[in-house]
Amino acid sequence: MKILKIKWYSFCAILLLALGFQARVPVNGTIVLPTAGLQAAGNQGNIVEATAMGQVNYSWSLDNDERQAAMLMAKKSLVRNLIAQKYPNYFNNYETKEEQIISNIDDYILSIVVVDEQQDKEAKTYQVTIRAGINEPKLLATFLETSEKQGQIEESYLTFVFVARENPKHGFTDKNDGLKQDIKWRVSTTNEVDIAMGNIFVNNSFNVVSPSLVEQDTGYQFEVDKFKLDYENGDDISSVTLRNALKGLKDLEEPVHYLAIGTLDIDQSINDPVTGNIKVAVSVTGQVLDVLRRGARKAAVGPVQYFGEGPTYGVAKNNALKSAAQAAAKVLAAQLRANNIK
Amino acid sequence: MKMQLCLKLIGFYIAVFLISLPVQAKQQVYFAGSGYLGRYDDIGKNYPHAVRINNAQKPVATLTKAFAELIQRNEFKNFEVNFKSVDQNLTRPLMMALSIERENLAFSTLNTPIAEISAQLVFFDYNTRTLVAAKQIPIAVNGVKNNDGTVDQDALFDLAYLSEEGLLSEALKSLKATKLKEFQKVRLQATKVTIAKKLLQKLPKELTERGLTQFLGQRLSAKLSQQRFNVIPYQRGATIGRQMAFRLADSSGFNLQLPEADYEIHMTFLDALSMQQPTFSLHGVDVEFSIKQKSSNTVRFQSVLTYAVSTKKVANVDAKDSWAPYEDAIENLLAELAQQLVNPNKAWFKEHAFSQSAFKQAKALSKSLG
Repeated sequence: MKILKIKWYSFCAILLLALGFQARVPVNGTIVLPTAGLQAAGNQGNIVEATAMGQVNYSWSLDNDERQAAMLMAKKSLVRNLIAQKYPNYFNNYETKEEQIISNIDDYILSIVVVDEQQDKEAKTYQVTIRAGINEPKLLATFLETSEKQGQIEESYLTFVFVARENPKHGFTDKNDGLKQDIKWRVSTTNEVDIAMGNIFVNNSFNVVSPSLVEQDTGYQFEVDKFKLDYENGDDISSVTLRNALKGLKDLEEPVHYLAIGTLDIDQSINDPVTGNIKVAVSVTGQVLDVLRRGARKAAVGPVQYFGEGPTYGVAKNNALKSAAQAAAKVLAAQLRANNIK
Repeated sequence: MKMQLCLKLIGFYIAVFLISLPVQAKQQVYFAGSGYLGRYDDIGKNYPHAVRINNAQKPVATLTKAFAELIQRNEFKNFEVNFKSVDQNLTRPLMMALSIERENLAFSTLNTPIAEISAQLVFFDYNTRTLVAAKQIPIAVNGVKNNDGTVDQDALFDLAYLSEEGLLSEALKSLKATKLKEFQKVRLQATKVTIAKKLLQKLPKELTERGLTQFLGQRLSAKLSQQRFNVIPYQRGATIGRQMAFRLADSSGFNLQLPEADYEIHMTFLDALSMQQPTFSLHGVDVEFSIKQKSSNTVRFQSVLTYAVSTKKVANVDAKDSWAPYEDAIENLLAELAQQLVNPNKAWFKEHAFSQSAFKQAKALSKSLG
């Protein structure tokens, strides 16, 4: 009986000690036992979703190592496919960093869902298909780090003049019938466009300089109003305006290396029967000129149409301008990067 | 004495443990209100009663206000419903809305009116307007005819939306049963629903091919949703590419981006047959199902399935809607198929499937569907 009692007390003591080690007392004094944290669904950064497959052969029977190998192949395919589709210019860079990325692949891949598993016992193959989110900014940072270290990439100043144009009578006309030449556009620069474009170029590691900051330094040889005046009457900048702008930017103590110019032409609005919103189309055209090389064109985009929607015309127009500006800047930046320009 | 002390200590420790279980921060789900799925210019035509009910009160739509009040009176285990404006500091705020996708007045075999409503609890990402998950909620409420044989549709649909057996109550039950982890599961979508040509000729005049395919697609989605599958809605005609038109009752309209499905379901309604006996009728349907894993383009299940229902004949009742029994047969087939995809039963497939390998295919598929 005494032995039973001792065993019972020992059991109680061990139980209390075991629970005690696992408990912790936070500042407010409540004793909290650790539990598995609830993973908040969806509160993550910029995540790209993709699906990929991995397949392995096995000899006698399928074991855990082979399953893991197939899973790793699938994860590797996810990343390779994303780079190939979205960042083909960086594919060579990816291959130099592939080993490093694969060894830390779970840092780049989030929220894996196993969509399918197929085991062919006759052919002795095992295939797993997964859908996962990829942490795109983190992956991108790896490539930017790579490309910075690789050879001759210069850090450059860039300024841009992109104007929004609206036909006071609304609607496009065919360029060939000559009517467009008679249009006097209502031209403006807009904050939405400047911010949207500026962010893209900054994210691509350009030193973006606002045109208003350089105008005076160039003695107004480079002047936004002159560009606006030229764009009011047609699609081209006059040779005088362009030559003066290039000279002004080149002669600065720290020359601005690249000048991006272009137009965003706003079409008339329509009522979208599907959503009931007002829909506006914007056609964007642009190019990047190398100031130090006599204005040689280094990148070009458009004309391409983008749409914006909103409950009012103003909202729809701004959304369309923002979409067009962002898309155009991305294309231009990608072309510059492809030429190792930064 | 010492044993008593020991027991008391254990009891005290267990009590403290239970009381002090960590209150984890629940995920916030922001309530966007009530709305309508589909084209804006079809809303008034497709959902006349929902629009009428919503417009009865301003500035907050009736269904939005009523559903919000219901939600506020209840607690949810897995998340917290937030009625304030979205917190802009959150990277991907999750929104939820109750969206009507179908309204229909049907008649039973006994010629009594039935208000049918189909809706979805739509969860979407606020920043990207991407659909995260959708829970289908179909309801049917029986009514009675007036003495003069007419139907007070307004009163019937008011019941169907607002009563304790109505849509809002069902939506609340569905919301309570929702676990956000389900949104991470494999995605299914009915992507193609067709009617065989020979069957088109048998359809009643008031039933169009478009209406029937929409009904079948939505029903299949609802039955799968009830089995806790992660289902992307079927929306023929309202989706362009992978976008679904959506409009909130407060008039904000946008296109919801639909995620890619992992498994696509094709359904072909092949035939509807009946057999009349003195005291009962047998109504049967033949439907071909094909379930394909999208990325590998592999068909994982393919078979024609058949289902029949028996309906007792009632004397002196002229059944206006002779299509109702076929609908019952289809509904039962879809419900049981959804169950079979969770837990396949050999006997069921032996009875209902034309293909001898249907059970084997279903068994392999159910493992992948989790």
